[in-house]
Amino acid sequence: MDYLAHIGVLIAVYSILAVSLNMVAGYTGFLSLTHAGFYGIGAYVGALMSLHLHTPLLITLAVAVSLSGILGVLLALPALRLRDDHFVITTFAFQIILVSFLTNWTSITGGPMGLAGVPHASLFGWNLSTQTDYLIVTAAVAAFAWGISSRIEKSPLGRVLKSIREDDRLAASAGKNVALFKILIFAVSACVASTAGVLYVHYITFVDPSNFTVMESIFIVSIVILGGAGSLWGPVLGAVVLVTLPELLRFVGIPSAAAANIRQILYGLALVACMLWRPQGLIGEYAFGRAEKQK
Amino acid sequence: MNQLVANTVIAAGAYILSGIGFAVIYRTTRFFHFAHASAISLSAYLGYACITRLQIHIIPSILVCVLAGTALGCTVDAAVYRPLRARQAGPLALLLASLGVYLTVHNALALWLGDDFKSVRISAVREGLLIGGARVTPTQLAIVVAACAAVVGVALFLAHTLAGRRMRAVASDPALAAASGIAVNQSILLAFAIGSALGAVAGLLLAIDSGVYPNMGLNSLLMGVVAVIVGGAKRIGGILVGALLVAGAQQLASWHLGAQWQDCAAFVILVAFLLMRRNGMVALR
Repeated sequence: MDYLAHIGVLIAVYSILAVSLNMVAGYTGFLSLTHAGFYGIGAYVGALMSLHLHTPLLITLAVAVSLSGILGVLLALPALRLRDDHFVITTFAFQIILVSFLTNWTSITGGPMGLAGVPHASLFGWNLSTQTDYLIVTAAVAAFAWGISSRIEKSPLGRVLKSIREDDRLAASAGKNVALFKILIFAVSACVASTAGVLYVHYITFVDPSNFTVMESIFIVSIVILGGAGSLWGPVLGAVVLVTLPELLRFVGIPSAAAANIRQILYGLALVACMLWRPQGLIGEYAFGRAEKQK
Repeated sequence: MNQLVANTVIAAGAYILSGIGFAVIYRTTRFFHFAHASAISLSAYLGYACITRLQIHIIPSILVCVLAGTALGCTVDAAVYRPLRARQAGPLALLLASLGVYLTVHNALALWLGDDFKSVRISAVREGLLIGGARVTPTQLAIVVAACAAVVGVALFLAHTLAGRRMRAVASDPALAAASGIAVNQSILLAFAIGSALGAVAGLLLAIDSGVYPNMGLNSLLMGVVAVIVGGAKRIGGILVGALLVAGAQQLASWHLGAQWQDCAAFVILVAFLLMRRNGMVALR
């Protein structure tokens, strides 16, 4: 039962991440490899604040969200000038710079050793401790994130973002302030992603940089692509599939040493297969890198 | 001071070697072939398997590594990229597919030979050669020589051979090249063969110089990519400038801030160049 709840927590955490990445990647068409960085910001803010200041969950979340939002705006700046692969490589660089700070700023982040003994979260006097407690909270936050994503998608804002995705010059010529919308959605996306980090670090009670590398970013991208970029349920479906699929490996008796590698091979093959045969993902509406018209 | 200069040149050599194969592929196909890192890793792991495990002589080992790297690059192009190109997929689709290929190959290698660090030794460790007041190991010298040879070789190939000119035609306009009777897919396959062979040479030399570990392919490729972008992807010679600039900045960063900030410095430069001067130092006008 605890095991199932644990899987549930992981699905909820990755749903939050995928749903938030979908806002920039799926709706707006900017594929970002910095998402694990925002996830990490959330986790480190969560760890540091609860270790040193013993803040309750809501205050930790508020601080993590604000900090991450500011960094999200920073990431939006290259998106104002760059597109496609140049933008991807920029987000790649951001990701590596962020991890480099987490790893090397030893006095605050604990360096490669990380920070241990992060206390469990408390919410209105309720001390979360069991897997089921965390499942309830992470699922609630995931539902909230999905709600935001759904509101955006159905609102005029969502339509503007999609028009930026299809042709940002056309959007601009229709009088839309493209730069402002890009900054807005990057900030919102980064804010939502950081909540996943805060919840995760309280749940695991430990944090180190290895969880937030570019590999993790690629994994989050795979979830969105496999599930379906631009669709409401796609990222959630992707999270369910890519989190549970490797768990099945446990039941076919693969040694745990090899399991991590085999899991990543599965992700890699899924990504290639998706691009080859189903670029819009399982239930998506937007195929990345479909033939783009030359401008 | 002399050592600092020597270290810069050696690091630049390593970046050039990792980046030049990528540059050949990138300028021909216009997408980020991240899976180039897997050709580098594959060659490094094979080098370890041949030289340390099977005790094969260095010359046949080089041959095995280069052939395997080339075969990998060509297979990936034929099996993954060509169908995508046939569907007119854009650069992002190819980039995502290449990330998938990289994940697959990278983990298959780790599964085969393990995640731990391995060193490859071809001879007893000796004191390095003294060149202009700086210590340089023979392997490091080989890296610098191979890097220079690779840049000159690729530049000559692109400028003066028929196949190279076809490749440039494909690079500048694939549709026009196809209309003029150039077999575009063959030209691209050749670019992958040459690029991956160069990547394999890089992988093997880096393995002998600094050992084998699973992330080495991506790490060295990224530095190569930074050098290519900073230098300017449109001219092969740009990579020389880019690599020296990045390596110099890294040496300065590790001098003043500490060696752990090297990567950070390189990527800060990359972001600055992408934002301010996207075509690199040596831009084609």
